[in-house]
Amino acid sequence: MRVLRVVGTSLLTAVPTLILATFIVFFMQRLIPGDPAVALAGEYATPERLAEIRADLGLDQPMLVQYWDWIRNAFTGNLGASFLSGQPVTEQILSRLPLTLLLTLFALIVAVVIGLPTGVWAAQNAESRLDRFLTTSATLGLAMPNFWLGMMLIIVFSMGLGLFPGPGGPSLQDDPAEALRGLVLPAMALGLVGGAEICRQVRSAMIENLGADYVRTHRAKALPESRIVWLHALKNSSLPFATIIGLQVSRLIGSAVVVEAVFGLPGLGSLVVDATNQRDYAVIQGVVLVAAVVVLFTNTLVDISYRLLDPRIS
Amino acid sequence: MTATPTSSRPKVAAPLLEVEDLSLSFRSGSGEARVLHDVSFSVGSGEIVGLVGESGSGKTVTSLALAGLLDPRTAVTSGNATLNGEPLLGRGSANRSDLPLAMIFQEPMTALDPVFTIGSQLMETLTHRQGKSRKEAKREALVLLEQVGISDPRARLASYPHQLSGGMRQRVMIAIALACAPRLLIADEPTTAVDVTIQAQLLELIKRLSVERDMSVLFITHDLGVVAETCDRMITMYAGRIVEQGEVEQVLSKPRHPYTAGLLAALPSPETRGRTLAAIPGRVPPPTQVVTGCVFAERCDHRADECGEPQDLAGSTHQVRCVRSAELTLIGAQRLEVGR
Repeated sequence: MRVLRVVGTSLLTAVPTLILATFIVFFMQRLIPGDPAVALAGEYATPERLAEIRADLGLDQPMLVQYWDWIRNAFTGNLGASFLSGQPVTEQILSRLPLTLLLTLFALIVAVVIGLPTGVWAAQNAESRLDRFLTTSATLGLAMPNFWLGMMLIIVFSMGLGLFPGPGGPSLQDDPAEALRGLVLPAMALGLVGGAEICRQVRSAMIENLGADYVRTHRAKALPESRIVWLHALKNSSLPFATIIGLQVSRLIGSAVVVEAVFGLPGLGSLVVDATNQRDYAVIQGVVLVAAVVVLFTNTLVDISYRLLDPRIS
Repeated sequence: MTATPTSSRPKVAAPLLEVEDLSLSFRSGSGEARVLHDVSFSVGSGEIVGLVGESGSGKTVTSLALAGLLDPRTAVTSGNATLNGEPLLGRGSANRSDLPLAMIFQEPMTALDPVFTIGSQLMETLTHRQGKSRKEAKREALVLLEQVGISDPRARLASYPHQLSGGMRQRVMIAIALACAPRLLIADEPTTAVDVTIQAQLLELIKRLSVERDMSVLFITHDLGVVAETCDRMITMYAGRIVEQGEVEQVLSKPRHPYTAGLLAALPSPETRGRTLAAIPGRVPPPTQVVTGCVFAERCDHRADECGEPQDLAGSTHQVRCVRSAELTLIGAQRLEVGR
């Protein structure tokens, strides 16, 4: 009962944000300099030809009408057709979305697997040599640009040791196993930075909780220290943890654009980069909308987890 | 104070808790600060002993040292402490779960885990400390909640701490302590953070449980009224040293240490209404200050030359650390009624 109410409230609060996101997506990209008709027809096209193309694409309509048409179709799953290739945008996105989602998921797993235990260990041994080593590494990790990290990983693990395939492997549809192997290095390039961030946040939350009165109570009851740390203190630290996970997902989707370029992965990132270069509004709108939905969905999950993890939030 | 004067209960000869020459220092970057100096006392089976002193007197660190709650990275202890013959000091926290010892704290608002239900915190204690199955633990949890006077215990099992009042939380804390099957309960100012009516109820509860379960209590407080009402014996601590100990009635009616007398004089009473309360001038010397003679001399009205000499805790049942105690006539409690 409580769970249903929690999920319902969280979903309802996501709707206005989604509407706002579509608005921003649509109008922001109209601010990008350049004319799609010119991009299509070339610089030497006649004014008549340009007008014809604009009419074809609906670009001669008032902005609000264009927005309304787009949003109405988007609700039925139709994101229009690419200005350039004429291919349906939905189809293009669907063919590339799984790769980006998988990459984001893997990167998130890498980030959590690295960040969570190191954060807890650092907190348990606060101010010790181990703690200093871990926090220094985390700071270094945060300072590393992920495209650079990606290139280093390729040099060491792909070109050097030959452990993982380099850029330009097969697609998910052709050879799933090999394609997944090809995602390991990009996921590390993306996830290490996230892991550093998670480590720092978990450390500070855990230090606060390990010094709290209720932990002293658990110790007075002589509960095993491992249970106090990994169950009680960790659950009490889960709000900042959930928050950072939510932020990481948005950041990972953004960074995926760059990392996909470094590793030559045919995901949403490379699609949107190409579309931007060619002023393919329909594609950009579609991709950004999908990304916005994914981020909103994550935030809703985080919101739901807050309410489930902490009984004081109702 | 509620006046229910009853005769003191007979004391069992063999002490349950024995503390011998307990010393404690805290290590920090700038050196060591000694906060306890050769503290020795005992608590008999079923006895309630008050540990009294103002902030910084060392009463709370004494209890934390006995409960094994000091950080071994900074706290250095020496001396001996046994509970029922089992050593208390120098054990890792891991192998303390078979010690019949439990502790409750001053701040019931923060001492319970906020994101776990009362039931889960109680049952967890029962399964870990007494090896009960989940089913047994649940049954036992209900019994314990009832014993500490919580109404509708079945509903309370599913409650979170924030849904309870301060008094209720302290009762839950006591129930959790009882789940450790303690023969000694260390109560660190358990009634300081609640209002007076709740305080009286909690004191009654602790006294009742002590009798019913033959449980000893080491009651840490700065409130002599609470001591008078609750305890059999009392120990006065000052600057990490025991300065006086004895039967509550004896000590409160005829204090032999000027510090205990000073604490008594500082108590508000109907006679002092409208007047400025007596205060002990100055403050507790910091633990870094090395004192050779009487540690209270600096603040004492009865200071004399011999106070500069090292002092021992002298006497048989009523012990005092003051060279002048024989010649001094100190004013005891005017109105405190001893409740045990």
